[in-house]
Amino acid sequence: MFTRLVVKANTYHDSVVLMSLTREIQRLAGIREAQVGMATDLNKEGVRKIGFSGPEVEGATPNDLVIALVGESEEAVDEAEKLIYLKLESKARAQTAQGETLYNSLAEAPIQEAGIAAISVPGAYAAREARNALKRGLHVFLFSDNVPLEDELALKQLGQREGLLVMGPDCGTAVIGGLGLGFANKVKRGCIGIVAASGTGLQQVLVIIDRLGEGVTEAIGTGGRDLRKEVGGITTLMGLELLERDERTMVKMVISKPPDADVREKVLSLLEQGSKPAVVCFMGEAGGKDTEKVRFAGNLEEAAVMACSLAGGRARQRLYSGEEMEVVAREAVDGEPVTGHLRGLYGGGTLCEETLCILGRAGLEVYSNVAWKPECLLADPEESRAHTCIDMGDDYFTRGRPHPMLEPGLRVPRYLAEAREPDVGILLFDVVLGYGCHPDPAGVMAEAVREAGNIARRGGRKLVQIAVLVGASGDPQSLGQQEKVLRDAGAVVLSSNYAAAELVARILRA
Amino acid sequence: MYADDDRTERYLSVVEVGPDFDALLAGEREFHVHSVFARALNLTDGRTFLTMLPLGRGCGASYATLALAEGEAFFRWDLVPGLEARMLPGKKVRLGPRVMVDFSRAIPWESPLRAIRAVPAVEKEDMQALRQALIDRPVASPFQGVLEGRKPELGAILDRMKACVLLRDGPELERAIAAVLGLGPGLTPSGDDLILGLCMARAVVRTVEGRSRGLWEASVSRQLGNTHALSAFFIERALEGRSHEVVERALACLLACGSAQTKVAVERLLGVGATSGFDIGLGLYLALEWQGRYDWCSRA
Repeated sequence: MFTRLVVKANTYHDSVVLMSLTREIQRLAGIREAQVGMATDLNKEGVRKIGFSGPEVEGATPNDLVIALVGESEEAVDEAEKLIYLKLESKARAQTAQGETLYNSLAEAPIQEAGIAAISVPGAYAAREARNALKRGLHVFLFSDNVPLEDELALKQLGQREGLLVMGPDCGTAVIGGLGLGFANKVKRGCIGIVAASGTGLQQVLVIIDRLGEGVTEAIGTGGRDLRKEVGGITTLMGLELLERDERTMVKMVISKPPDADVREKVLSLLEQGSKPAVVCFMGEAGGKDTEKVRFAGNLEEAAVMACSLAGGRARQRLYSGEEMEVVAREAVDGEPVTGHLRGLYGGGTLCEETLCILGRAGLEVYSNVAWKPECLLADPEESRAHTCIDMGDDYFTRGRPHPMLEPGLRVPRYLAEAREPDVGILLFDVVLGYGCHPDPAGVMAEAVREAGNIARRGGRKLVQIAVLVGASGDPQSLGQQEKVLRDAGAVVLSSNYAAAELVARILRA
Repeated sequence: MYADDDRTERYLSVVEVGPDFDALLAGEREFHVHSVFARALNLTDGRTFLTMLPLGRGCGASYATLALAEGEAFFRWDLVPGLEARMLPGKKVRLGPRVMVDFSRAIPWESPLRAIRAVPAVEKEDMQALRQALIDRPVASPFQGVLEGRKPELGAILDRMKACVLLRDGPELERAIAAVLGLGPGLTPSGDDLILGLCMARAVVRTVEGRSRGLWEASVSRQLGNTHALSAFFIERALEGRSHEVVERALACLLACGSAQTKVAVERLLGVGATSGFDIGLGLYLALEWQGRYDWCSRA
């Protein structure tokens, strides 16, 4: 075998380009193994696995390009290396099958008509790309995570000086000028403007607003750390000012985890000074003292309903009345009390946290890998105990794997392992629709629901399975079909995470 | 639902995995795609076969189940025979340019037969229910009607199989096995499936009784070169008492004597494939029936 290792210092290439290039090289005749990538820990591990080691590998940093080749002949290795350079050095634009144009970097892209740069590169490179975008006068939608806090602050301060929004990092979704970014639901245009520090939380609110017949002007994501003391709510405050100036926006909304006290004060003060009514949902807080301008919601569904009531000028009801919930709970248990524990497996982190809050308020102690209360934090995310809700979109589960919103099947082994536990009585999970998500998430989870039902039947146990379906009627997966697939498999399907958590509380308290 | 983008990579999560996949995951042997069906994918290293199925189709020692939606098919992802199964770090296997299979979170599969420690006489009601289910099943198997006496030639061959074991008549037994093996169309013909059912029941009974392989097992082994490699592999595994979960569960329920799950397990077995479930079920029935009357599984 002939081997070659090349480390090119400070040479950045897009990870998607490198991954497809690796695949192309691996398929070449005479090449046994190939790895072309930035020298991240994960890629270095891959390089070691194909037989390379030593100071050159260990000393490489995520800013360096590493090329590792194993071939059957020196000629084959030469050819492969030549092809790699040809591909990487080519500044030629690549035409995709669908006629879109791909560019290797922002510098290559003609941006005269663009207003926003959507950036989704590994965290180590995200700040640099975002800075370039801001310098070129673009708002930034930063999907990337693992961006250091100091970089976030610097980017947001730069944006503030230039009058540009920095949405993110780790911004899951946004709707700007009617265009969905990230994991985006297709919702109606309307008069509600939203600033949100959470991805699935915003998606939940958007789809409930859509379901209630109202729509949004803008939904501005901020990233989960914007309301921390260190960042000071820069994007949130800029977003609210933008919504205040926007003539189409009649109602403003803010959705976030509980902010830093000083930042909270700034946000509320800005809302009070504005001319438009506002709804605030600081998740984890029971609510606040309503004023003429600002109303507090205790959960995401309530926030959406309050905003719709204000927008439409008439009181809207929650998606499920108390009587309806009573019927759903009765049908779910089918006359048999449920004695087992809850196991919730979420793809949406905010939805998981909301469930923890709601069940906590109902007096139920729930363990989690994302629990705010230290005593409820799981020592090992792989091992549930008593009532447990897991955020399977957390970094622990997604390192080297897709997010469960992209590949819901990654939750299925854990789901069935939980179903096999004799002390488990309720399984709870979310299914999130929209552009960018899996094309048939309900179809994948339905098979798991069916199998879990079989496991429970074989064990002579009662097992209630509850699905939270977050989707809008315009989403590409077909909301009605997704709901039907889950129901046919045996799940109780609810469109609100609040309602699902309330159902769990009702069943467990019965 | 919108169609899977032709360009996208498909990341498949393995839910359960049988122990035979260790050879692939440890990188000990090189596997490639042997055959691709809408809802099944076979890998081989030339000697053994590993099968991937959607969740809900059941696992087994040589099987892995994947989290797939009902409408998803292996055909759609450019998987063709001959593609190398390439092991990657993190218990992942790349199949061609578009498919990554992730074994990292898979649950190790456990056989339903692991609980069988003794072989009681199978309940008459269970045997009667199995017989009736076989008679009622409308399938295009050449063995359909054998139990009712409507296929006298095939019935005679099966009788010879039974008798030759009891009489220890090796040459005649091999002729009878040869007459059945390969009978019917497909990669696992009806005759092979019937032999597989007979082998499974014998292997489980003999393992519990502490018996080694006998005349039947030797005779079947010698004939395996006369059928498809995939089918021969499944029969070889059955000689060791290992098969697909649906087969093992049906057999476990029958042997667990009066199990409330027997009817469900038998129905599930008989529903496998166009004829496979029926033919394997018939093999199990005949072996257990002969065992009850003549100790057939324990003999020779």
